[in-house]
Amino acid sequence: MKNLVLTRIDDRLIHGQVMTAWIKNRGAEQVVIVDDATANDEYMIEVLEMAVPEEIAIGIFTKEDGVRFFEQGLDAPTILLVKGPQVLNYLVDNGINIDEVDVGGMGARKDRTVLYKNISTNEGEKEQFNELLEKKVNVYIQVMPQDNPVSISEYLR
Amino acid sequence: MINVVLVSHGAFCQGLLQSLKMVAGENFGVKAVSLNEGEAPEEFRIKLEEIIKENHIDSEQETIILSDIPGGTPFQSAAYLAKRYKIGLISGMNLPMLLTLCFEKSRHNSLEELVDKVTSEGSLGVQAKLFKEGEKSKREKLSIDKNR
Repeated sequence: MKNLVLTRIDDRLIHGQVMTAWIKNRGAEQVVIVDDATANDEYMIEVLEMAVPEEIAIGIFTKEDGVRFFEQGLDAPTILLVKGPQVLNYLVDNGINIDEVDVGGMGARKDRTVLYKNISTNEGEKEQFNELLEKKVNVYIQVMPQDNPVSISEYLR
Repeated sequence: MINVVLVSHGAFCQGLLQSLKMVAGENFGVKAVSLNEGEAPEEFRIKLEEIIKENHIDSEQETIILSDIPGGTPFQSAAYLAKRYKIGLISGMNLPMLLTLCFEKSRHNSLEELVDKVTSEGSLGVQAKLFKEGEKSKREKLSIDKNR
């Protein structure tokens, strides 16, 4: 969709200078996080606000509110940040047009195995990624703007 | 491309390099040389010179060296080697500074420009917050029904 300059999966969400580098790289003016748990955690919201440059507007929404927000179109270059692929399937299924997804960080956890370098997934998340690919969303792994994007599809098998 | 070497008293520089890799996903070719406890300054200087030489393509090759404290042995060794190599030396290294350096070094071609950039206030990442009751952020918040 217009003005959606980056859709990124990163379970660290806003990540200091890494996020700043992406904001600069894409010329973004606003960052929208869609994550139910974060949207319901006032204190976490305040902490995340501290982590973004002051001139960047921020919105933190539940997935239902996220759909409402994106349905209206975007007035300014926007980065969409989520923690995993599931919420992106939800957004796409609810009519939000997302062409490509950057996987930037999914940390190791007991239920996850390494997919590629420091990106780890569990079986459910792999399925969610496959679903996105089936919906013709281009999913690639790229930690930093200067890295070469690596297509996720071959690692899902 | 400008080379980057970290030097410190003890393992600080190696730890910093590890943290860089964790945050940014790679080490950008940065090298670390630590002065170990009890090690003679001459030994350290030899180790440092070897690392500088590793990626020293020609006499125009530039190297930025980040050191922990100004005036210590790692700092002095780097300063001494500036006699033979094109070196920009910066003390007080920290992770925000190193991240800025790594993100910017492919873009800036002059050593001077890069040194200015990484030592500017915004690159140092020193911020203090006291978390006082009722402190309000000036940031714009996006509401569900309106973008800006």
